[in-house]
Amino acid sequence: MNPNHLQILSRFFDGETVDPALLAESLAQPEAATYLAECAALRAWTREDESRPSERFYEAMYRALKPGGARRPLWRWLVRPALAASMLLVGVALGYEYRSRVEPRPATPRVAVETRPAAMSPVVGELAVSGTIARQTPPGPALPTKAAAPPRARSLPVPVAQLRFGSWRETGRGGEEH
Amino acid sequence: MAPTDTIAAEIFERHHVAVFRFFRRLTGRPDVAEDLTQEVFLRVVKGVEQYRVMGRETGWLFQIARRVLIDHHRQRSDTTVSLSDTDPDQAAAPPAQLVAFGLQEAVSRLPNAERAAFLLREVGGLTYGEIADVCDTTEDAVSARLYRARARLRQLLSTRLAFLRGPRNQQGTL
Repeated sequence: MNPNHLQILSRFFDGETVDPALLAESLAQPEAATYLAECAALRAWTREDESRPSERFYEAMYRALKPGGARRPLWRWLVRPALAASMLLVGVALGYEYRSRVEPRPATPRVAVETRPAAMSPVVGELAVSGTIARQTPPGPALPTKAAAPPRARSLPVPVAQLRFGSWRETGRGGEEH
Repeated sequence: MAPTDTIAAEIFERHHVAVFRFFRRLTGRPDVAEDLTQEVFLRVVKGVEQYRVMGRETGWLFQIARRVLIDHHRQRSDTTVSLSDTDPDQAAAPPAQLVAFGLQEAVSRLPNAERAAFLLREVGGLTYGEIADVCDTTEDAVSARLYRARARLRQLLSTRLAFLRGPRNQQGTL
């Protein structure tokens, strides 16, 4: 049996495509059956290996293979949070900008504080302070339908406080009332 | 689509024993085989996002195994496995396992290309085309390597294979 016959039988034994005529010629050789049996023995001895990795190996591998357990470079851990934060910021900024364009700003009421000189009390030693707060609402943005509406302003005299210092006495120790 | 971690875990479950035994036969050392197998599947985890060749994952996996082995040999700068490198537990093996010990010894004496082709075929179960991809060669070269590997193994293990030969074949040359 020449090497070509053995190679054909080797390919045939491995399930590869072979030329049928060459295979028939190879199988007709007297040692062909023994050769195939020896190939089968080599395969059986090779595959009868029952060895398995140790427990240490499995612990390490399951740690590496569990979700999120793979070793990843640091930048990959940072990219996703950074992207999420930047997208959130962009979304908030766009929403704020959209809202400011679509919705007209409501008129902001202004509060003006007017003070008047305190009315002096005829009582010697007593000082009366009084004042009023005039709340004034300035005109809002002109709307097309109410263009001719006159600005409304009203002055509401509100007494705020009246302090009497008649019963106060200087103690020299800082505003202690008796 | 399943998460990449799940895909890698499934590939591990399907093939880690074959990869481990491939390395164990190739190096003769279980501890080295474990390290190499672990490195293979860590690379699988890293590269599984690029894995799209469904149905040929065995070939893809053993290509990674080959690269891991090349890197290992570069680090160690020796590629031979002597008898002293084999598993010491096997020295006291019962007679039934002496055949396997002899096979390990014989496999370790094969040239690297033939040994890799033989183990990829018999342990990994790869086809000639897949072995050719893994070894970066042609199918005809794989066929020749496997034929030569078997011829050498038959020669090295002739005494153990004698029981397969009848009285007539024992006298002839195979």
